Amino acid sequence: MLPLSDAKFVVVTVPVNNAVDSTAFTTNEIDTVGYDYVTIVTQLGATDGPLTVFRVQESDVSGSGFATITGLDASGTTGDGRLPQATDDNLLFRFRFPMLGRKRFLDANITSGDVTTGTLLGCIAILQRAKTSPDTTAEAGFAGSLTLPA
Amino acid sequence: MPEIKIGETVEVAGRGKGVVTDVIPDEKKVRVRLQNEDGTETPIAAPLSAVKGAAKAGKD
Repeated sequence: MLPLSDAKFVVVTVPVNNAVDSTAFTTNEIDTVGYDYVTIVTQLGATDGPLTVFRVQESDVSGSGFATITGLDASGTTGDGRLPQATDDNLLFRFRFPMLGRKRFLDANITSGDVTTGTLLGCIAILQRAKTSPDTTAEAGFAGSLTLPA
Repeated sequence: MPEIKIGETVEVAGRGKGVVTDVIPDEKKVRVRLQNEDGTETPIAAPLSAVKGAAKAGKD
């Protein structure tokens, strides 16, 4: 079984350095229609300040009405549920959750803290448990793909 | 910073033009439906600092 073969990948935040204090990263909305499980992966690069907001929001409609999902709102400075810290350079963080009972549209709310050189990060969402598997490279969210037979 | 209103066409730095669908003062963000060259739309959330201000529709 190759679970990621049926997954759709969505760019949430392109890798970018945010060097402005207390400023949100630009994020793409995630449309989860047709998928029942979501993993949002954030990769940190070099950072000299902690994030001040790191959470997932949802809405029934695209473009407005987003509210934070309880339990998907990072806080504190230690533990798995912490806000990414200045010492977390080059590490991965994830949110993962089923879409049962959730609203269709998601967004990651990521805001820099007090930075000097900035916070470099990128973020993608992996949509799984597809009702209908993606048929093409583009449907799976990729611009290119090379595959060897299993 | 100029006031940004829902329905206004704005330009988001590095992303292009789109229509504002929501303004979130508490988060200092706006939600914008970007209009892609192929006719599709991409809904995004962007910080107010990335919004270059109101851009007149149809103006480059």
